[in-house]
Amino acid sequence: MATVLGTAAGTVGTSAAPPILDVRSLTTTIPTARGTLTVVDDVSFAVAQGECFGLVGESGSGKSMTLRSILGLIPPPGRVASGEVRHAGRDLVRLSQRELNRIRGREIAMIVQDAVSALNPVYRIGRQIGEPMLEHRIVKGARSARARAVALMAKVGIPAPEKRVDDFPHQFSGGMCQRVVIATALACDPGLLLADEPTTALDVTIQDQILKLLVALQRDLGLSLLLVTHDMGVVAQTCQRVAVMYAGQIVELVRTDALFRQPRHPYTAGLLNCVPRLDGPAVRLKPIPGAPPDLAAPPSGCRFHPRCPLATEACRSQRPELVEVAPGHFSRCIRHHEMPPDLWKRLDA
Amino acid sequence: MPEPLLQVTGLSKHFGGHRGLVARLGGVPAPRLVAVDDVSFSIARGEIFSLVGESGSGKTTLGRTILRLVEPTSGHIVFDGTDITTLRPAQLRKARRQIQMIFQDPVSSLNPRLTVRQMLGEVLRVHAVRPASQVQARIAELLALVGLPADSIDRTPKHFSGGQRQRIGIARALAVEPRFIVADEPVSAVDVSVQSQIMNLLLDLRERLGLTLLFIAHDLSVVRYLSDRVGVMYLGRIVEVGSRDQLFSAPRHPYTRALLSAAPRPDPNHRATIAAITGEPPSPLNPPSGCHFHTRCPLATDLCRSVAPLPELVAPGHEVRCHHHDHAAVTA
Ligand SMILES: Nc1ncnc2c1ncn2[C@@H]1O[C@H](COP(=O)(O)OP(=O)(O)OP(=O)(O)O)[C@@H](O)[C@H]1O
Ligand SMILES: Nc1ncnc2c1ncn2[C@@H]1O[C@H](COP(=O)(O)OP(=O)(O)OP(=O)(O)O)[C@@H](O)[C@H]1O
Ligand SMILES: [Mg+2]
Ligand SMILES: [Mg+2]
Repeated sequence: MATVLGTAAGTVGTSAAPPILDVRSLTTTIPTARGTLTVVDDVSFAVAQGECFGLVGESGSGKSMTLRSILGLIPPPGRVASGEVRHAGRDLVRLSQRELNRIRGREIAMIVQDAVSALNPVYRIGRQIGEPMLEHRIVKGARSARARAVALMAKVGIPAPEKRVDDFPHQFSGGMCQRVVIATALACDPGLLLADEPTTALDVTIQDQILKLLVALQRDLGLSLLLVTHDMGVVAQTCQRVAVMYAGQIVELVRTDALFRQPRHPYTAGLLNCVPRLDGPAVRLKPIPGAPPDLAAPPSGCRFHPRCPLATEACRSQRPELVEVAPGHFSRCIRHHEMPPDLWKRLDA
Repeated sequence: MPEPLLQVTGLSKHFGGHRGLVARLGGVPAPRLVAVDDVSFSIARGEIFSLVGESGSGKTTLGRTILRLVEPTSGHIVFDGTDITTLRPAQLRKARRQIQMIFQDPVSSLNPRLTVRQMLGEVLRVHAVRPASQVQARIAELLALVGLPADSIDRTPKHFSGGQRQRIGIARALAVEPRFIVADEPVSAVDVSVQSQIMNLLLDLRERLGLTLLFIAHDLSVVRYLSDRVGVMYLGRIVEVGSRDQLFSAPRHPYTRALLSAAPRPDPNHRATIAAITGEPPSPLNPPSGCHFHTRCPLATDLCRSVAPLPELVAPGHEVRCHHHDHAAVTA
């Protein structure tokens, strides 16, 4: 297991071995008619070699924008305004699109939520999976690309791959399409996989299969995984460490077991407290009041203060930093040390 | 036992097939799809009955059939003593005031150009629920009931968050003072922090207004917090139905148990106790013979491949469609 130490020179949550991805103070802005939105706001985290790192948060919290920023895929006029994305000794933020093209799909691959639309409907499955291999010249010629495609299909659990390699995407179910997308992502043996809600569109029994596949690939291929999800259950079951996002910022970052055992940010605690569960008493849940803020008019100070039971004047006026509150445990809350364990349970719904 | 508010018997809905106009005109008929297959259940007054199942299992079709937004192919739906499957349009309009629907997608189910005042005002006028002089007061009352601020009355849907839009949808359904609500995945599209707000609201409304609810969901943990009784659907059939405790503490159908096991738990120490379900859901256009679940079932035998199991009572109020429900209980 990658041990998680404290900060070193602005790096959050690094392990002893150099991380495969080191994101530092990443900030991404999108100009709109309603003003410039800071959709990724001073985001720092590092993914250790061979680790599955989770990014969790509610809709609009900036998870997808963080992934896109890493790979230089922010559509203009949006842009990465500041920060670094360190990978294999380079800062990806400073690379040209041409240089990034050599990395995308080769060293870092990405899979998205909507597998069906990620596939080209007029390409046969073998060609979908083979294309990145030919593009990055990791195989010679279409024949070997096809052979490797069949092997990859078997690896991701597609039955009868040699028969199905010539099928079209519409002949595949949603779950099988996601397997094809994963096979395509693995085509060039990337060291790092960015997965944006890879199972959200799938039924629960199929989600279970795909998550198990990703965990097995991570283990067997030594793959590092950056997994975006809004589901605390998915985090608990797949990620070693996790960062919780709220309104563009990371509010808490820690090992998964510690996050569930002792959250150190009121938002995380509130979120865990209102997740419906399959065990324990099915008593009335205590919701977090209100709703996430509009990024065009974010609250002053701490972005969570309007919904926070601990909020004080200082929370309204000071912008909190992400600080290490215990070894390897980071929280963006100035009152983290005053958080009672039953913070949300005492509130009336 | 008191007479149920809603009694569904032998309800089926087929789409396509050769009975359609296309076939009579000599065209190629659409293949027949059995979306709801001989479903029977009842809902007591004041009860929350949930339907769970994966995508395409027929939950929405079943819910819409109850409002006759979809015409059933066969079977009966008796609401408060009246068979609504045989009602003529004028009577049906009256019945629809008693039965309302809440939709999953709060965005597309609301007219983007209407303010909350216009939207609710129109519903109240069309159904003449209140005299014109009381319409404004009733709108304010509805907003308070669903927990929307009073100043939201002159705003259009785009000025609301997802959770607030879902509240508007609920206010619209409540406007005509229905006794029964079909809620089709009302919390599936909203965020977790807001989901529990909407769930609590539904529980409160049941309490305050004496509502009866058919709640449709694919998330078992949500169902567990809301329901008195639960039906599990697989490819058009209800394979298990029982009280919440029966379903969650003593599930007897292998599919119910697989669903429970596959749901990701927000607990890093949790380990699944039964093997993960393999395979894909079959195509509803060509469902497996016998028990639809046999292609993915660890207990399947030749009997399952050839004979569709009938509902069997395994405990009071607990019905299972499985030839091997005894074995399922033992290995649970
Ligand atoms: N093209 C755009 N123009 C303006 N704002 C945008 C654009 N794309 C995204 N945003 C905003 O950026 C913020 C972050 O969006 P992002 O897609 O990263 O959220 P997310 O955490 O991935 O949410 P979800 O769970 O819904 O996928 C949101 O508030 C969103 O409204
Ligand atoms: N108007 C229609 N014409 C033809 N087939 C239909 C129609 N409506 C639904 N179906 C089919 O009926 C089956 C049941 O669909 P339904 O929408 O009721 O499922 P569901 O359980 O609500 O699924 P989901 O969880 O995705 O909402 C599906 O196979 C669907 O494709
Ligand atoms: Mg996203
Ligand atoms: Mg549906």
